[in-house]
Amino acid sequence: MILIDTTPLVALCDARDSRHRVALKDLEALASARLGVCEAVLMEACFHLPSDAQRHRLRAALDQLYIAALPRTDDRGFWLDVLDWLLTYADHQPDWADGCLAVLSGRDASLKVWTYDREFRTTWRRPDGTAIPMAVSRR
Amino acid sequence: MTSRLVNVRLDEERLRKSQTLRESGVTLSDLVREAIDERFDELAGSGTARDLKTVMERIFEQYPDPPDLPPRGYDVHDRDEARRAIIGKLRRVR
Repeated sequence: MILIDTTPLVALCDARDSRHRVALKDLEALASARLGVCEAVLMEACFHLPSDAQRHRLRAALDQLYIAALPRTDDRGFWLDVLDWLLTYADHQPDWADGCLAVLSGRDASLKVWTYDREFRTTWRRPDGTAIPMAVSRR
Repeated sequence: MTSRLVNVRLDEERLRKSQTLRESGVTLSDLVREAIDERFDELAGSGTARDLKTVMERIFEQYPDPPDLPPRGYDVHDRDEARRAIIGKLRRVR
């Protein structure tokens, strides 16, 4: 499973985004993988994709690329884990979506994160301190 | 979330297995949901690069940007700029 972060999701749905072509190439490279997204990432994406056409494309991408919703079940413990993670990295001012990706990655060793944010490579780790596996190489 | 009841026929052997699972604390409906998710994941992850390229091209053909769509005005890939943009939008909404 590949967890999509806000930046590649926005880049996929906006042809004017500076990384649109990169995101399309990455998507093709990840064709054999199942994609997943969390609600926090969707919220951020909606801020950056405010027009009707952009949101139609976001909806169509979620539907037609079979992007799964994560976590799969309502889980209060997940919120607490994300808050703990945010406090651990408070000096770096991560957002809620960053915490969700890190915690989800920590809950399933097979998950990889598709992101263009360098902090996931340089600074942030899973809750157990191990590196967060990346789905695409550095761009 | 709405849900619908789905009936599944089981032969004698599977009935026995399901009984044993139930006695050991497994909820059969959860088991079925998990099995459906797993099989769907396998199916959905079997696309090809060409399939995905076609899907995205079709989406952009179906929902093109209007010609008067204003530029975003900030770089989504700059964490600070993106955060300021979201906060600014929230302030305007309030």
